[in-house]
Amino acid sequence: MFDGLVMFGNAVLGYLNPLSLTLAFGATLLGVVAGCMPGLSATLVITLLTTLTLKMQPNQAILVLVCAYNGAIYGGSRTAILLNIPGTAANAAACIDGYQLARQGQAGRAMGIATTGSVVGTMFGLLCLALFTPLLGEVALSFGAFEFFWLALLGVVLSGNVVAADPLKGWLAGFLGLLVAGVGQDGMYAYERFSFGNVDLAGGFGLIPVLVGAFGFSEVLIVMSERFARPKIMEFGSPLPRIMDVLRYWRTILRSGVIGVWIGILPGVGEDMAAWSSYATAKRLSKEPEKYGKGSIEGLMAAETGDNASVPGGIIPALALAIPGSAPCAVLLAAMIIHGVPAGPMLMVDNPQFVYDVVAMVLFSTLGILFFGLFFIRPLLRIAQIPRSIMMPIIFVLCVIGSYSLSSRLFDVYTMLGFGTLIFIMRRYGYPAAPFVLGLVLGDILDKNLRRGLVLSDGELLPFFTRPLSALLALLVLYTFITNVKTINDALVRGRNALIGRIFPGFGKSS
Amino acid sequence: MAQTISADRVGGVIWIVFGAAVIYGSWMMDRLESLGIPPATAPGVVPGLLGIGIIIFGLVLAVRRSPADRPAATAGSVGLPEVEPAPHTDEFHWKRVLVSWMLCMTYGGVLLGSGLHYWVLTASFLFLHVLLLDETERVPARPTSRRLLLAAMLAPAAATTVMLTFERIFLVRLP
Repeated sequence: MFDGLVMFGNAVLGYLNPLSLTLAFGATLLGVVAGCMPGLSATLVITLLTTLTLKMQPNQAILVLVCAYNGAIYGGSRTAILLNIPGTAANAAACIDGYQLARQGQAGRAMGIATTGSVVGTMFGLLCLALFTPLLGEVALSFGAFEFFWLALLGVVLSGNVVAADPLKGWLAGFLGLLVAGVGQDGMYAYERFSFGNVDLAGGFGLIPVLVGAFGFSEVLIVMSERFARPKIMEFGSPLPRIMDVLRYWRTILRSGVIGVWIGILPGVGEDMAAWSSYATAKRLSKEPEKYGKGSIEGLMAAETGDNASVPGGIIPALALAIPGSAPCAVLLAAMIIHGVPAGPMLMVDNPQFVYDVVAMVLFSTLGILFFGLFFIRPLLRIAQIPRSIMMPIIFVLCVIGSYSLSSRLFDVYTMLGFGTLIFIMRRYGYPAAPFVLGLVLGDILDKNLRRGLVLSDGELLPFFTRPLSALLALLVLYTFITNVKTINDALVRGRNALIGRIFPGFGKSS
Repeated sequence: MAQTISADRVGGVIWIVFGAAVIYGSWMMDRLESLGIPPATAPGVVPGLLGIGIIIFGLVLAVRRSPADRPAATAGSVGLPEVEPAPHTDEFHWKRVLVSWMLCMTYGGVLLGSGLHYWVLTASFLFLHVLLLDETERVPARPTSRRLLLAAMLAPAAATTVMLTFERIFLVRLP
């Protein structure tokens, strides 16, 4: 406990120098600006920044990425409130009541609420990050190859199930990601898989070029496929938050923080689901549900607290288990791997200080959000008005040179172009990119641990189902699959509702 | 709905063929028996299993009668009414995508590394992209003197910034 506090104190002191502070606040501002611009997702920002931070010290590079990530998730609330356009998918829930408040002439108040919710949500998540990462890391030390195999598979399956409108397409995208991760020399015997005698393919597809293609180039094409009228910004008053708004809804804030962190921890689920779940729960338990959708302070607070709390929440499994909680976290994990940070159960043994370094990074980004959110509104909105037809080709140029700069070979640029085109086509037909990316990052873990497990069990499959934790994870994977069979799901929902009705009579009637 | 189903059927068949190709490729991989490794850990095991999974999912996609009818991570997924659409159109404009994709592929896939100077190539790409693809005009956009001026000012400035950043700060040897 006290060791943790000492390490956290050391981490904060370590970043109190001009360079680190400039990087932290600069990256937070960049994230907020990018989040303000519809079409620039948090994942795209982190992916591009990963290519720009390769030559930095690992701690400084991760500092930039964490601050930009947190800033981007917050930044999207600006346009959600003022323009009814969520800057990132995570801010879609903030549109409902934020925009209504803006229409009622309370845009400044709404932005103050969003800033307060985001800051409090992140601080709550930060506390959970500091408390639960070491605990989860300790539990994970007892995990073997069997458990890690199931955990990796669960991440891909759960992500495919949640983020896609059609789970089948989510799983297909996830399995494709797992397969792409396996191209090139395998991790056990250095055998070249699917290289077809090509020297470049023998080394496998670079993680970053594929990610830049999946979230950069495909995003450029998606944005170019839409027309987008230049938004007009309405007038707004003071964005300074009112203390009464915070005190009155403390229960909602706390509950949304818990939901945000919990959904963040779930592998591959993401911030948007955290915002929607927090919002829906707040409405269900609210004393004034009739105000929701008409400019509810409580609703906006719940949505913004939930999505920002899920940012540190998603980092918890990425650090403790090397299983990312969301697509941006998958990129963050990839960056950690590239920088040689040993994310996973051994992190708390080999480098426990790093966990508290990340906690300090989140703290600095939160302070940045508070400052930029309250005092930099007008310049931020001017940037949001830059036409996307001007931004997108510049982003593409950065995608190209970012992919090339990794190892100065054109193969990485071709990889980026190929996967960008493929993911764009897949997204057009309803296949989400997030499970693909999760599969890509988890592919190596799944491959190595399945085969290690088979070595340990002399080729027997039974231990994958008989070890207690393995069996539990296997059941969760199976549950995720079967709940998508309509008849089984209907029966489960009926059973659940009957049970809830018996335990909490009246629950859910207000919604 | 009918279009979605037929697209899914075609997609399902493509996945089945792809999965079969993966299984064939996995089966043909060396099992490294000469090294004495257990057959269950041969390099082709995991890709083969993934191929089987892809075939099963592809099969369901191809034969099911109706696509899954549920919202993704949106308001509807948590039992709320869907949010009113934002005040912009998200209608798909394939001409814009095609023009953009062709410009991008020509720049990154064909001309980059072919001997043309990086700055000239990047500035030309940016100039053409900004000039041809406006957000509100016709597709390709009718070049007006204002757009021409914007593209002529933006392209060299952005190309110079990117080039200097990567060459001088990140010490990248440009293609």
